[in-house]
Amino acid sequence: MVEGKFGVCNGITRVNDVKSGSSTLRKSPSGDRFKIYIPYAGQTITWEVILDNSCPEEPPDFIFEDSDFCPNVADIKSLVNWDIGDPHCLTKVIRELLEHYKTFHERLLEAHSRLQFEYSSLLDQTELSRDLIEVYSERTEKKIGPINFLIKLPVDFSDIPPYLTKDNPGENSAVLLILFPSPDSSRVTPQLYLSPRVEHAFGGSGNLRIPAFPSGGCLLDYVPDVYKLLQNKVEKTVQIYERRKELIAAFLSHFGRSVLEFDADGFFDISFLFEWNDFFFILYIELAPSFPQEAPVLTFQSIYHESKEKPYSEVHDKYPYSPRWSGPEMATRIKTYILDNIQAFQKQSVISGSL
Amino acid sequence: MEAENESGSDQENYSRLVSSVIHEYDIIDVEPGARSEESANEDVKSRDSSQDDVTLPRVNCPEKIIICLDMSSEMDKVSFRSRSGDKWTPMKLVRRALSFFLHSKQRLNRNHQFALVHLFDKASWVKDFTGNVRSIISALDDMSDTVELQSFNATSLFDLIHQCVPLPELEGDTTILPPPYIVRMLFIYGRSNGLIEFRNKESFRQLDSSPYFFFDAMYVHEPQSPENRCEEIFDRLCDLDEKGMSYIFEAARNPTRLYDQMAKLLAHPLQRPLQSEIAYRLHNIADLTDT
Repeated sequence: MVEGKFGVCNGITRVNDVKSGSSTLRKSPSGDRFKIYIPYAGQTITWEVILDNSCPEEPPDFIFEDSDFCPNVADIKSLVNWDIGDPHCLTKVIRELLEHYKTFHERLLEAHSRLQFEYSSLLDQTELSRDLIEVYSERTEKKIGPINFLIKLPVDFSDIPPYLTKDNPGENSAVLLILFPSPDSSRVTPQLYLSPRVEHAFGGSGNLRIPAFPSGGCLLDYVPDVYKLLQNKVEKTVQIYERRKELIAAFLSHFGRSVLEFDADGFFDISFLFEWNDFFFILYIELAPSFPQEAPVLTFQSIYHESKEKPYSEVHDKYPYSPRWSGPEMATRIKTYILDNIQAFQKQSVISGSL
Repeated sequence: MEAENESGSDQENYSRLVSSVIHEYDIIDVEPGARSEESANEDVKSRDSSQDDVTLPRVNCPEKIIICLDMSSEMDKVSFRSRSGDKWTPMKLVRRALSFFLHSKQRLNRNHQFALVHLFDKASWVKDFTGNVRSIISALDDMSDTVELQSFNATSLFDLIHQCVPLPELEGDTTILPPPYIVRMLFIYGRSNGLIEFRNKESFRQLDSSPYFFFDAMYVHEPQSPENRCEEIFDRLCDLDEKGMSYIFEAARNPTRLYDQMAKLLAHPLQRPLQSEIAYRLHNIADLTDT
C-alpha cells in the first residue's frame, strides 16, 4: 500500500473508500479500487486508483478530480515500468504524478503575469528552491481563483528545545500558506503553520504574529521578511530557554537536596523546602517568558501559618537584580537575598497568620 | 547540613545536573564531615540501594496522590504539645498539615490529583481522585468518627488500590518519556500498639513492580517506650520501602515536627533526592569555608 510522504508538507496520504471492482464475490480481500487523499498546496486532492484484482501485473488507472489534468502515460516512467513485485511501485507512481500535477499548476500561472511574476521571482531571487513551493489554482468556467502558494520556510530549527511526548511530534517545520483570491487581487491573506514542537517551543500557537501582507506588496519581499522574523524568533527562543535552563541548573546545584519540584520541560519554575534555625518554609521561584529581562519572582510560603484560609505567603519581585548576571551568579545573589529576608518573613508570618 | 559544590567546574556541573533531568540523579559531592540531615535521627532507616533497574526521567509529571488516613481513635487522643502548653490531637494536626499540603501541592502543579481513603480494620475509599482541593479538605472536615481499632490489615489497602487505581503502562523509551502521571500513596498511621498486618502481599507486589508507583508514610505516635510498639511498627513501615524510593517519616509530641515532615512529603518522587540525601538547612554564605 501507499506508505510514502509527499510534497512540501511531507503530508501523509489517507487511503479511503476501498472498493472492489470485481463483479463476482471473492473470499480473499479484494479491494482493488480506492481513493487517495493527498495534501497539496493547502488543499487536499483526491485521486482514485483503479487496479485489477484479476491482473495485478497491470498498472493502475487513475481518475483525477481535476479533469484538466491529463498527463501523458508514456511520460510516467514508473507506470511504464510498473512492477507489482516492488513494494513501492504505487508510491513511485503517485510521486511522479504529483510532480506532473505540480508542473500543471505552475503552467496555469503563466497566463497571469502578476502571479507568474510572484512565482518566478520567488524562485529566481530568493533562496527558495522549487521543492519548497507548491502552487494551486482553483478554476471555474468563468474565472480562476483562489490561488494558493504554499511555501516551506527553510528555518533552522535544530536547536529548538526537546518536546517529550509519546506521540511523535514529527519533524520541525514552518509553512506559509498565501491565498490570492484572484490573480490581481490586493487582498492577499497569509497564514503560518508551525509543527507541534516548534509551536510548543514558542509557548503556544498564539505567540507568533506575522505581519499582514502589505497591499501592493509582493512575495519577493514578504516571504523573506517572514522568514527572517521566524529565524529571529527561533534564535531568541533558544537563547532565553538556555538562560532559564542555566538558572534552574544553578539552583539545583546549590539546593538540589531540598528540591520539591521543578519544571523539567520549559524550566520556568523551581521550588524548595528550606530550614533556617528550625524554621521551615517553602520558596517558589518562577520565571516569566520575558526572563532574563524580568527578574525571577520569589514567593516565600509558610508551612505553619495561614492567612485567609491559605498558607501565609509573600511575593518578592523587586530585589537587586541584573539580567546580565550569569545563572550561577543570579542563584548566589538570590540566595543571599533569601537569607537576608527569612527572619522578617518568619516574624510576619507569625503576626499575620494564624496557627 | 547542606553541602554545596562551589568548585570551578560549574558549567559542567550545571549541564550535567540539568541533563540528569533525563538521567539518574547525580548526587552532589558532600563536604567531608557533613552529614545528611536525617542521619543523626535513629528513626530513619538506612538505605543500601536505590532502584537501579529502571532509570526514570526527572520530570514533574502530574501525581495522583492517595491520602490513606488512619481512623483509629488514638488519632483523637491528645498527644502533641507545644512549649507554650497548647495541646492537640494527632488528627487535628494531620488535618491541618494536610490542608497546607494540598494547597502547596496544587500551587506546585495544578494537574496533581488527590484521593482519600480511610483506614479502619480495613481500608475504604472515601473520595475519588480530584484536583479540587477544597472538596478534599471538606471531606477531611466532615469525616466520620474514629473507632477503637487494633491491628491494621494492610492487604485490604493494597487490594483496594490495586483494584481501583490503574497505573500507566510503560511505553516507548521509559528513561526519557515522561509517564502521563505517577501514583503515590501517602500512608498516615497513628497507632502506637496496633500492628500492621500484611499476610498477602500479592497486590502490593503488583503495584510496587511498576516504576510509576510510590509509597510514602507519615507515622504519628506516642513517644516510644517499652509500653508500646512504636519501633516495631515503624520498622514494619520501613519494610514496605522495597525499592528504596520512599519517604518514611515519623513524629511524636512535637507539633512543629509534624508540619515539617508533612512538608517534606511535598517533594515530587521523580525529582526528589533519596531520603538519605535530603538536606534543607540554609547556611549563611559567610559560614562556608571556601574549597
